[in-house]
Amino acid sequence: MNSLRPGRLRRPAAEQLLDGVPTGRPVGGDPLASLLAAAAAPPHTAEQAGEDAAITAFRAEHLVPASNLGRGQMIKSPLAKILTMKVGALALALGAGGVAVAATTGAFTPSGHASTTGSITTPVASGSQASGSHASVKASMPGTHTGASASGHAAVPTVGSILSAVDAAQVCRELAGKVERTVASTDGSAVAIMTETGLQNALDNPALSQVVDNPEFVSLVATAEGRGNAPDYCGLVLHLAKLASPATLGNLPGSALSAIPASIASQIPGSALTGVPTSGLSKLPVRFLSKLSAPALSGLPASVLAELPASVLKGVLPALPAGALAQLPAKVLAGAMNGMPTGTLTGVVSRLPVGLRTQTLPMLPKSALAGLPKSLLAGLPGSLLSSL
Amino acid sequence: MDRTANLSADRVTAIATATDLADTVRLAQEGDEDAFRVLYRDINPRILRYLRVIVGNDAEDVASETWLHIARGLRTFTGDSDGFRGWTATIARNRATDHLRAHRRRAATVAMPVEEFSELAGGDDTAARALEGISTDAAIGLIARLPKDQAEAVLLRTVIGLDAESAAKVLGKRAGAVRTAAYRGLRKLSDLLAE
Repeated sequence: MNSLRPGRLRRPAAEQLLDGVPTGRPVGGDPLASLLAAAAAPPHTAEQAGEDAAITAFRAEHLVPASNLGRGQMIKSPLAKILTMKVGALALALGAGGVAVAATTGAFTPSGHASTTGSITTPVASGSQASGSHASVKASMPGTHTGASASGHAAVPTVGSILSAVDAAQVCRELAGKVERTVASTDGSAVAIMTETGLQNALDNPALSQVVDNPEFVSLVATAEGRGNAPDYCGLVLHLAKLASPATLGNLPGSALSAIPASIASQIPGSALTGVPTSGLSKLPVRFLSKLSAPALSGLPASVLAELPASVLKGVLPALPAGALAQLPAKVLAGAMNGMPTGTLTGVVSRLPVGLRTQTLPMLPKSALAGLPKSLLAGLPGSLLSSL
Repeated sequence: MDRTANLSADRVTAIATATDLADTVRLAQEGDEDAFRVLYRDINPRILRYLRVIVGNDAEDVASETWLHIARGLRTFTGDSDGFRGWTATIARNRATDHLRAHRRRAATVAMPVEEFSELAGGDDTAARALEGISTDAAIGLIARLPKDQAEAVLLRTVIGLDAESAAKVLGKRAGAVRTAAYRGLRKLSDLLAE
C-alpha cells in the first residue's frame, strides 16, 4: 500500500495529522497516520517508573507532611504511649511545648530547606515521614538535635501570626495535650492524648477555654479568628471524625479554610460535617469544599453541592444517593455529567427521577446520549431522539 | 495503611477521570500529592518520548531531572492545560540541552542529518513494522531519524499535543517556521515509510 508517495502529502492533510489522530480511530492503512498514532499511544507501564521519585521531589518542595502523619501518631501500644508522653514532658521542659516535637519532624522547617535537601534520588525529611512516623521514632529524635534551644527556637511561632494548616495541626495536638494534662491533674484520669478519640475529647473539654488563652496558642487563635473557633479548626486540620461544636463551623474564616491543603482536607471524614447546619455549610468556601473527598461531599446537602465546580461534582455524582441527585438543578447536573464515561453516566442517569432526567439530558451533547441505553431516553422529545 | 493506600489510589483515579488538566494543576499547586501523581502519569510518557528523540537512552535520567524542576517551579506556573504541557516541555527541552552540553558525544549522534541514516532505512525492520501496527518505540525511533528541528516540531505537535503557536514558544521560533518544519518532517517520514 503505497498510497502515500514521497512528496505527495499536502499541507492541509499534514496539518490534520499534526492536530492529532484521535486514539481508537481506525487509521485505515495510512502508514503515516499509523505511525503518529503509535507515537502518541497511551502510556506504557515502563513510562511511569519514575513516579515515586517525582512524588518525593514534590513532597520536598511542597512540604506537605505525609498525609497519614496524623494517623501514624495514634497510640498503638502501651510502650508507644509512654514514649509519646515522654516526648510531651520533654517538650514542656524545654519551654516550647509540643512544638519541639514538631520541629524534629520537619513540619515547621522553613520552605527554604527544601531546595537543599530536595533531590529526586535522596530521601528527604517529608518523604521519610511517609514511611514511618511511629511515636518511638519521635521520642528518640529530640536527642539528635544539638541542643534544646535549637529545636525550641525553630518552632516557637511568632506571636499572633497566621499558621499554615500543617503547622496548626501540630499546635492543635499540643493544645489537646495540654487540655488533657490539665484535666488529668484534677480528676486523675488516664492520659491518652494522641488517640483520635482522645483528641476529640480534649477539644470538646470545657477546660480548653482556659488552656487556649496560654500565650503559646496565640497564633492558633489568630488563625482561627477567635478562641471559640479554635476547637473546630483543630478538628478539621487533624481530620477528626467529630467536631467539637459543628453548629458554629460556619464562623471559621474562609481564608483559613481555603488554605487547608488537599492532603489534609481530603482526609476529613464525612462524619465531621454531619452535625453542621446547612447555613454553616453554605458558608464554607468552595476552595475548601473542592478538596474534600467524594465520600465526604456526598453527604452534603444539594444546595451546597450545587455551588461546587462541575469538575469536582463530576467525582461526587456517581456516589450520590438518588434522593440527593433529585434535588440538584438540571443545569448543574448536566454540567457535571458532561464528559462522564458512558458507564458512569448511565448509572447516574438511571437514578434520576424521570422529570429531572428529561430536563437534564437535552443539555448533554448528542454523542453522550447516543451511548445511553434506550430505556433511559424514554420521554425525550422525538426530534431529539431521531437526531441521535 | 492499606486502606489509606487504597483511598489514595481511588482519589488518583477520581482526579484523573473527573478533573481536567488545568484543575489538576491547580490542585497540585495547593499541595495535593494525588493530583501531582495524575499530572505525572499524563505528562511523563509524552516527555519521555520527546526526550528519547533528543537525548536517546538518557531520556529517563533527563526526565527525572525535569520532574525535579517541575516540582520546584510548580507554584510559579500560571496558565491553562496547553500552557502547562508547553511549560513542562520547555523544562524538558532545557534539561536536555544542558545534558547534551555536558555529553557532547550524544549531541553529535542526535545532530546527524537524516541522509546519513538513509542506507539504514531501506528494508529496515522498523519501517516494515510501521506498516503493520507498529510499537510506540518503533514509531519514536523512526521520528528520531528526522533532522532535529523537524523531529521536535512533529513530536511537540503530535505527542506533547501542542498547537503550532505553543510549540513555537517551546522552541523559541515563529509559528510559521514550526509549521513548515513539522510539514517537512511528515513528508520525510512518509518517504522513510515508503522505502
